[in-house]
Amino acid sequence: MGKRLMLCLCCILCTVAGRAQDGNYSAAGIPEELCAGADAVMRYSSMDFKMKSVYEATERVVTVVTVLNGRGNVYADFGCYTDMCSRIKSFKGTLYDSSGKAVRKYGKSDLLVSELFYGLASDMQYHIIDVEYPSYPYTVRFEYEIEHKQGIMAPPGFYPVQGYRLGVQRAEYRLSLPEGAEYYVYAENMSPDPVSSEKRLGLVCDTYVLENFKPVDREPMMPRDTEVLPRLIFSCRDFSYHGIPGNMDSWASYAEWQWKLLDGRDAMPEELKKKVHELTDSVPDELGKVRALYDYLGQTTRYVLIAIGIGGLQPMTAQEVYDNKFGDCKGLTNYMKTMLDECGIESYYTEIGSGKKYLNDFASPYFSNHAILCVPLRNDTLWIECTAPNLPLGYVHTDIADRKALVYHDRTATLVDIPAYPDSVNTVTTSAEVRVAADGTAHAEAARTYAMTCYEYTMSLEHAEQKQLVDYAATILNVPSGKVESVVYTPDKSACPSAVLEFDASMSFPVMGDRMILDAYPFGAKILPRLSRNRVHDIVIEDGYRMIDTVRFRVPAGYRAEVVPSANVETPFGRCVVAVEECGDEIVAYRFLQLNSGRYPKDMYGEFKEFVDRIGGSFDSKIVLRRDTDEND
Amino acid sequence: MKLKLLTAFLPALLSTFLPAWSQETEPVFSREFGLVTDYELAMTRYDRDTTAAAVVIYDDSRVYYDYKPDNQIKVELVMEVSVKIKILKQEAVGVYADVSLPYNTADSGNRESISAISAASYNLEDGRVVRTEMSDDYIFTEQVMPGVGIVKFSIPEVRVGSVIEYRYTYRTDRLTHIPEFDFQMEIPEIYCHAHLEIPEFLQYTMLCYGDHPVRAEQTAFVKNVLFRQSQMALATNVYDYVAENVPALTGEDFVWNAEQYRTRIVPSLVAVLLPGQPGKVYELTWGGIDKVLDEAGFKAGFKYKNPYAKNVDKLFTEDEDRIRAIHTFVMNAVKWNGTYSCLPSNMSDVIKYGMGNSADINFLLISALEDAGYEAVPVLLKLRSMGEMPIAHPTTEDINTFVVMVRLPSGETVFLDGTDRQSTPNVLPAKMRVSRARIYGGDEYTGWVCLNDLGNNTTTINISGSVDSTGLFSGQAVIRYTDVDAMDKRKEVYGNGTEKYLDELEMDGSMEVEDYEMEVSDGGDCVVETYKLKKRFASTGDGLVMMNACIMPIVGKNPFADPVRTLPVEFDAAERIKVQCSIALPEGYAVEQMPENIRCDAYGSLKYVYMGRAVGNIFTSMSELSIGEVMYGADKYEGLREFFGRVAGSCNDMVIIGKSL
Repeated sequence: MGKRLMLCLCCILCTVAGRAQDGNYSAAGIPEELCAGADAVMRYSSMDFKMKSVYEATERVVTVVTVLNGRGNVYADFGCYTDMCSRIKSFKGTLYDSSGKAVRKYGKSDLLVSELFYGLASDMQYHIIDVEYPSYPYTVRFEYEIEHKQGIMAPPGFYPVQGYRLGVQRAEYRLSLPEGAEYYVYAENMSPDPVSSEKRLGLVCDTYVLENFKPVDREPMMPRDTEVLPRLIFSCRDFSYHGIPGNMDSWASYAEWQWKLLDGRDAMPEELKKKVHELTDSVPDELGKVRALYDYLGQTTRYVLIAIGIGGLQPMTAQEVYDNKFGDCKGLTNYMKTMLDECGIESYYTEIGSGKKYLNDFASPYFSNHAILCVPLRNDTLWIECTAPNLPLGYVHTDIADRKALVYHDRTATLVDIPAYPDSVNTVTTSAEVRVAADGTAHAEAARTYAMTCYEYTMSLEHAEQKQLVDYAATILNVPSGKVESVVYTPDKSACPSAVLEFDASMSFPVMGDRMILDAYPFGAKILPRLSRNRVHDIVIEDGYRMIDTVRFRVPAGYRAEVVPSANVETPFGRCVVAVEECGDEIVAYRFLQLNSGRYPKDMYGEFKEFVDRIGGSFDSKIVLRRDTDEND
Repeated sequence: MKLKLLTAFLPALLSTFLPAWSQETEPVFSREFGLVTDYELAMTRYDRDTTAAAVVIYDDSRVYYDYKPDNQIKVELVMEVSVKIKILKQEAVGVYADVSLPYNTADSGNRESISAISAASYNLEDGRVVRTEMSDDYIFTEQVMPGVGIVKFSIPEVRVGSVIEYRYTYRTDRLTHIPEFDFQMEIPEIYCHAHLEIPEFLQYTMLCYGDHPVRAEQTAFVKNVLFRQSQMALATNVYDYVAENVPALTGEDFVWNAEQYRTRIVPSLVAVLLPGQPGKVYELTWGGIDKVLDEAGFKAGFKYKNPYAKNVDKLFTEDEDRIRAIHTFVMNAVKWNGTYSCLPSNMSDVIKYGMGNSADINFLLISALEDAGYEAVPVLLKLRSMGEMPIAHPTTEDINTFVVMVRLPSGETVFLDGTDRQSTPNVLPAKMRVSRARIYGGDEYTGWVCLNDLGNNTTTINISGSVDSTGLFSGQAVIRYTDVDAMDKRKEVYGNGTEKYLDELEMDGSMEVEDYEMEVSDGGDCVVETYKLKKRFASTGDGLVMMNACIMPIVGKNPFADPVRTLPVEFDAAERIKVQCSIALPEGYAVEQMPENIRCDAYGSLKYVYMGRAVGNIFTSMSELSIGEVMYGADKYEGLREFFGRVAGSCNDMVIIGKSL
């Protein structure tokens, strides 16, 4: 009997060994497969979100992280934010050494509270603890509770894997709602189904779990986070935010709520009406009117962000923007729409996820972070970025291209697609003439034209002073001895924008006996896709483009091309053509590079590396000239 | 008569109908708050710097002490600031129309406040001047962290062509700390003025920095104040400083701290002589600074007992190994929390939690070294990123932290720092490798040391291999790093992890790397990398190969491309880099052409040599760059630029090999 009891006891102990949720924080208990390639391991995390009603909720969180090395410190740090509708009710933390022995306690007084905001003002407070320990591994446990009142748009999401090189032993999420309340879940890279559901004290509690997630490493040109890391986004059918009730059934029903925030924000001061008519009455076409008001917007307003309370979602009124001539994306978009309304041009307030955020069919405010204006003209639809009126009108910039947008119209909203430009129109074209003297010195006149997305990356040069322009041009000289002498940047801000960078440069090429070695492509910085040695993910090329170089070398008399480079490679990833031709005393070097955007299986990585090597090789291409010795006899 | 009357009144008649600014062809600026001239509104560029995106028309500060007589004098230091800026380009709009003013929110004795903010913009619209005042609704305060707040406001109606103006009042009960006056910004300043009224019982010396001339005037007046119900005549010293047409301060590469070159006035407290109280003198000597530090708590650091006495390894007998062992042990026992300080914190917490500031760790180091029988002394320093430590007129703000100097029985000295776990004896972190540091308790005039010439920082690259007829070089690299170069390499590899380091190595070197190994010597002051490499060079189909004569060039491009420079050039460390190559050619191939040998130097401390040789079917080359000094003044920039231009040219030279005839 005694032996059986002992055996049972040992079995129990073995079962619980290494489980952080049971209070064992020794680093030795972490499964090996979760440590390989990890900087830290989330031993256990739980989020308990209990919504008593649409107005009130509590959020209880426990996290236990073991940090394995210096790069993992970021996962140990504590951070959360509250605002005018939430407060931290309780907080405690404990730091453990590698054996699991507690070495430090944290309390609410250890929290560093900061209101520092990147915009002008907000109602947010950040609560932070920087955790440090002299040796690795170490473990830190935090437990805290936040009370929410009146400011619940949706339950927080379930992000069990907060970043890269992080293993996860077990992560739980419990969502409790009043019986009869409905919620929706959107899943990425994990199951949307709860592992259990129970009813207790009038609430229905659904539990989601993720276990034994092996760490994922980041590598260049990999798929987006949303395709790699697991997460769940939740929304409730009924919600109330700052006292305004709404329904998140669909984007259309959410839009009904958002319309309440947009109503009445377009009251226009008389002076502004007068100005709008002054600018547009004499312009015959709609596009011209839009352009006149867009230019006016750009010349008179600037971006200032104030995100306090409902102001984080509700635009400033047109009057307020007019009085101050500043606003955020919502305010400036509403302002531009108000002006277009006055001159009879239809336009729609539009929500979008910009940068790394993407709207999809699942209605949730989580996916949107920006507002733009949709202007459907007869022959085209304009997507106007009101916070950056230096962008050419009609051009769709990379942060809003290739994604869905939620267009508000007729008291509802519809998801529409904003396309991306094809790779073939995103071009950098260089045309240059290089006069080479017999001593190897050379003078070049070059013109480099950037079109579409390639133009966008050079936009800041429009107002650059000469020194900045020279510095920029110097970065695209592919000759170590090159010096830029004068630069002119001329943009063409049409709907298909481009810019020409013209510059003079001096350089010298090595003369070795009766040979001279020219760099075949002296212009264009050798910027190649970053590669990793051991590929794990598919290859994603997000921004495809074309680069076309034509360089005419006028070589000194008596010199002939002895060696010229050539290449012609075509792959699924793109194309690389190098061709050099001698025409009298001129040598013309032509290069065509194309990178195709797309997603490619990781098995093709070797082929991709070879292609990148070929592109890299083109930048190092040399033309060897040899002096005709007959002429020198 | 009528004609005379007409001509007399003609200018007045004309001015009624013509735009006002047409009369003012010469620049006319107003320094009166609330008054904007036509010229200011009409200007579209600043003639002295046509690249400027904005220009400060005036920046005026008035400092005085506000007495609130009572049974005791209650005094506040007050600074009233007024600023007027002309916006010339779009990129300046958001930068200067949105203003942030940090301040201390600490307890009494160090409290600051910012109040009485007013701001407005001025624009020309249809020939009229339109003034738009900022509403108080757009003034916000944020708590940045305990003890630090920030006031933010956004001025309305600001665009290209606007003139903006704002003022505020700064108050503090920290009477002995007058803020410094910056007379130089990232945009030009037309007129800067600081007016200080300082009562006689506060004695200051005014330190001037920067190159731009500043006019100074000093006067005094006597004021009657009520002190303990008696009238008292109090003399007040008045200082006025003016700088005009100050150019913009622009950042440049190879500068640790551009701020120290900013034209500015820094009031430095000398003494406090309050009536009826003993005077307190703030020495302006380094000896006095030591006393100030002691009183602030520095001396307490020496009292800490070494908690690791039993752990110090007594097996080593050579000084170098014992010191290294103590250094390593203390760094592993206590981790730096990221804060530089010269004052220790709570030592029992430091030992309990294993975390401390720079003073905590280095005082523990001193304690451990002394227990081992060494003489260890703090060496006070100002971090390179904070500017250079002054020789004269020091203040405690010129000391950010200290390192430890160990005097060996042999008379040699060794310098240690415990904040960076990759540092080793005499190999200090880059921020601490200063040209001038102060020995605590040292002689007033000779107690200085230089920390940027310690160690022997070298990188020696040996590459051997062969190139084939397609231009593919295959071989092995053995690279040896010492001292600072070794520390930097360890940080690079450990910081990112070996895999990421190799990814970068391959990309940056355009090569493939295999069988990578890194060996670190016991003391850490030497690192050796070995790896196999493949690198492709240009070749033709018909027997010519063009390869870089050094395989791995020391310098790719001349880092000094700008033709002009105003600030000195600062390198991280003096060092020597050498590359030696031995390349076997394909059978039947010989060197057809190779670069000429070159030797160049500049200022006696910059040296470069390249030598190449072909013997049989082996090509060998050696290139070596030596940077002997850490700092070169702006007057040496032209020579520096030329020197590195020649080095870059040589490093990128080709050797051409071809089939032997």
